Amino acid sequence: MPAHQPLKATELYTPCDLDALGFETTDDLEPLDEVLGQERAVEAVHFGAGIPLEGYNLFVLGPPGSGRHSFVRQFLERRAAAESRPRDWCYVNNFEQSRAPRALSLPAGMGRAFREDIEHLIEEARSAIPAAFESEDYQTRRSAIEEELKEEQQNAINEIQEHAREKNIGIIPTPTGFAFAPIRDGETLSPKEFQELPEDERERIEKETEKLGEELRQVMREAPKRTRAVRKKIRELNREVTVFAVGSLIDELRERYQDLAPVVEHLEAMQQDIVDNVKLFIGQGEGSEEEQEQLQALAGADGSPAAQRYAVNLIVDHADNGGAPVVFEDHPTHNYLVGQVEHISHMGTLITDFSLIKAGALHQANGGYLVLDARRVLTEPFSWDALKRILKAGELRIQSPGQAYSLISTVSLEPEAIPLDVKIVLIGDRWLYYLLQALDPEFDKLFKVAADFDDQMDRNPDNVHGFARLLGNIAREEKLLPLTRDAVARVVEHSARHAGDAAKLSAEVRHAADVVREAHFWAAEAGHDRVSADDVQAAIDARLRRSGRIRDRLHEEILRETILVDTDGKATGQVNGLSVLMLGDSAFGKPSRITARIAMGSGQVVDIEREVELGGPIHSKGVMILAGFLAANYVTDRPLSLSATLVFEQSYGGIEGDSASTAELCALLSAIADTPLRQDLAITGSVNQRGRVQAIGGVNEKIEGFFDICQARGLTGDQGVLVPRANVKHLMLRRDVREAADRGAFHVYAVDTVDDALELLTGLPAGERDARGGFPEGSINRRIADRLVQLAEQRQAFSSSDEHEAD
Amino acid sequence: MGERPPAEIRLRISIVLGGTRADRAMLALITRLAMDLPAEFTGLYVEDPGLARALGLPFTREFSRLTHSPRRLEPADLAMERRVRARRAEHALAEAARELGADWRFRRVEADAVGLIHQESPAADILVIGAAPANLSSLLGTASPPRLSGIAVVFDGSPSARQALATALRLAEAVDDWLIVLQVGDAPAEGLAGRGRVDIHHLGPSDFGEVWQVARETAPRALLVGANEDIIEDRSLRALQAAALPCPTLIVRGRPAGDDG
Repeated sequence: MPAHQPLKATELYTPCDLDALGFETTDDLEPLDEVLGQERAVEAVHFGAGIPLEGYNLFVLGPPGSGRHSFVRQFLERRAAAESRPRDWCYVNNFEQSRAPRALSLPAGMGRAFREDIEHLIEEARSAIPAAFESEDYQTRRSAIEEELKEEQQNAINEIQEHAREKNIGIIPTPTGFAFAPIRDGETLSPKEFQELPEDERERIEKETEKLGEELRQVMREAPKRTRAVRKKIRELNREVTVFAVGSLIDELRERYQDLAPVVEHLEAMQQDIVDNVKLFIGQGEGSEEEQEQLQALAGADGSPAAQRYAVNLIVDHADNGGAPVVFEDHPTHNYLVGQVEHISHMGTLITDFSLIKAGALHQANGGYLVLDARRVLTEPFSWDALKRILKAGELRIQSPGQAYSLISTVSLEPEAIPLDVKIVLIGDRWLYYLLQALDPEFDKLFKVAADFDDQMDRNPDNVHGFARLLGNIAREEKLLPLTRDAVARVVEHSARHAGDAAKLSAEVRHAADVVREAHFWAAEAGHDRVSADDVQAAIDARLRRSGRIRDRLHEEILRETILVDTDGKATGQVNGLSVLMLGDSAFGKPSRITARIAMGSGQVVDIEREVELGGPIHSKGVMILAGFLAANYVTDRPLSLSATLVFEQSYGGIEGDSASTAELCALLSAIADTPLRQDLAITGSVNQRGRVQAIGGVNEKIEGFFDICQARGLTGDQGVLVPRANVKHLMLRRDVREAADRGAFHVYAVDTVDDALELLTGLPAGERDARGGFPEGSINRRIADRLVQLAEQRQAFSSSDEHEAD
Repeated sequence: MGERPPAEIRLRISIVLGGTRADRAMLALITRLAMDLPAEFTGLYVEDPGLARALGLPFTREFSRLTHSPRRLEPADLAMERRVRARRAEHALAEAARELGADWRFRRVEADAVGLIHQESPAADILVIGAAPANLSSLLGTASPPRLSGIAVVFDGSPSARQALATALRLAEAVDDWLIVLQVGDAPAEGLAGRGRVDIHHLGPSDFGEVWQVARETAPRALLVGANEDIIEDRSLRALQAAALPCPTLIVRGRPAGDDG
């Protein structure tokens, strides 16, 4: 049996090379202006932000705390600053259809000027128009037009009256009109008097009356025409006067905005509307009182209806911006995202107009970048659907969910859609990205670029140096004490430990930043002027203490032997397995007793955890592999004739993962061979069907978990942990573990196979098959094989006796 | 026997009402005149006998202001429409009198305009004739009502004209308006000093046809005339009817209440 040597203390930890750091404190370092170790994600963001094609929006995925947000912010802001400002947008009244306000775009910065120009125009018009309409000249011309009509009508009436008089026919008022009747000496003829007239006279009167009636009807038929003509003349006069009053002002604006056809068009429509609604300026004319009251309500107590009607609602103003907008909307409700039409209450009803249109984040980001948290967009009602709809349509149309789903019946607006040219950047978890990929068929058409932030980065000199600069950034930006070189080294080592890999650094920048902040606190408490390695260690230890309540309770229960875990002696079918418990942001190892019992059977290995539904599928898979290993490795010429049960003792929660499968196999083999296993050792590792021990996660926590128990009971010098050799590169163990290993008080063994593990656990050679296919005498494998053969024979004998009895 | 208390002198005002919206404006004006005075009102709804006669003729058609189309007006329809208007007039009077706390009565009378004045004038201190009824032009809807202002009075120096002037002064003060004196002949209107704004139109010796025309052009809120013989003479009254004044005419016979101490 080859001697299994424990790992050297130097193999248990990969320290940071202080000499390679080359600085005194982080103050000596240049600031880091790039994201560290995320080349793939950076390239993707660069590509996604730059490609100007439809659907090439970005989904930035990765672990929280990896610096996605800050990188995206810095990258986009830098990029946007070099890009041109997009156009301003405003909504104005659509004078032909007020329910559909018009959207106007102007070059960046001109929106504000346009709004002020219009305000000035209306203010001027409010004094110029009344002055013009109150002028004597206007009143004279208007009276002349009206008089002309009156005269024409009166002449027509006079003519009828004259005819009536000539024909001795009177015009008699009735309660609701007039009637023609023959008169004599100023008196209306009675029917009797009329009958007494000669027949030809009666006929004459009748005809004349009829004729007068026809004349009157003719005049009445023409009256509306005349009235319309007069109204037209008055309108033309009003137009003439209004145009005179405001024309020069509007002409001035028309000239100023001559290159902007929609604006000029609006100015022309506005001039026409001012003419049609002069009442707003002179307080009289056509239009309902209700309409004016609503305008007044919308304008507020201090506003004027005219200013309200012609106002410019500047919803996107880039006057103060330096480049393309970068908008971070951290509360992406439907309204905040898409914009909304607000209402105000007036006389018990809700009213609105174009001035109450509010821009959403998409409006503000149009022509630039909009950064959203994916989870929030998905959890806000209607937001995700609205975002997709808008991106597909390529235009921004404000429509409330209430309108869209007919939830409310309040009359609202349908503002003109605004063309959309925005790059959406969603930031979210990895699982969310893959979930969207799988479940939303529109997702990959709209978000074609994934920027995948890694969880970790290589622990190479460049990255270590960059990491140090990053820590320097944090210290400078947050006005923390500078970190000494050894403090940086300690944070680097801790980052590797956090990554669970001595050759990697964790990309979770937030975690490292928190350690630096807390180390600053401890340094300040101690009166240091810089953060030392001890301060960093103090911070790490304090974090462990703060989050260690459950760990300590569990360890305590093991020490008090409430939870049974032996750390010395030997036992058959029993082994110390190791598991990791993840609670929030803390993880710790916990040893667990795993036991196996066997009996004659039909080759079943029963995973009790699975039977009671406490074992997860991966754990069950690991146990099933054991049966395969047993059959193939020991009894190839006869059926596997045992029934085995495996259990995690005193485990009352779920168990998942296959990292205990080597331990389970060892327990099982011990039970089969009836050979005790050392209890001062613990083992972790998964195993395949060929008996090869494979890497597992959380190796550091597992070793430390068993070490803590052993240390608390007193280190014997024999205790230790068996880990897969593939995990040696991940080792970043605590200093106390390393020191114990260094002085030979605790051992960490790297194993490649189950045979290695069995030799260490039993003290017996594993034994290899010889040329005849048998295992050497005295080896553990021989014991196992013999016992399996024995079980098979017993089973066969049992079956034969059964058959005899049956015969 | 003890001394009898003096009989209360009441201002008797007879008002010709048409059952139209104009009634309320007219009543509002008259009640201001009668404010703080004991008064009794007699409302008169006048039915033109000529119309009833015309209805008997087979070819008579009404040209409605509402529809502009001719229709055969049946006596029953006419009676019903008159009843409706009379009821409106009565309600308007009752309301105005109630606000004033004055007695009132209401009658429907059948008379032509001139006959009505002859018939009712002697029994009233003031006979109020409403503005001219809508004329044929109203069918065309273009007759915009003129803007009325001032209280006009015709003054020819006669005793009744003096009464009318005193009443006009009182009315002008009550409604806070100015006084327009249409002075016929040379007799000067006296007692106007310190009575606010007074415009005097010297008409010289004119016939009443001309006076009514001037009154029409002046467009006052009310025209007051004394009930002297010249005025209530048929020709003057027919001229008054023909002038179709846009305002009520108050024919003043009795002493202006409150002006005699």
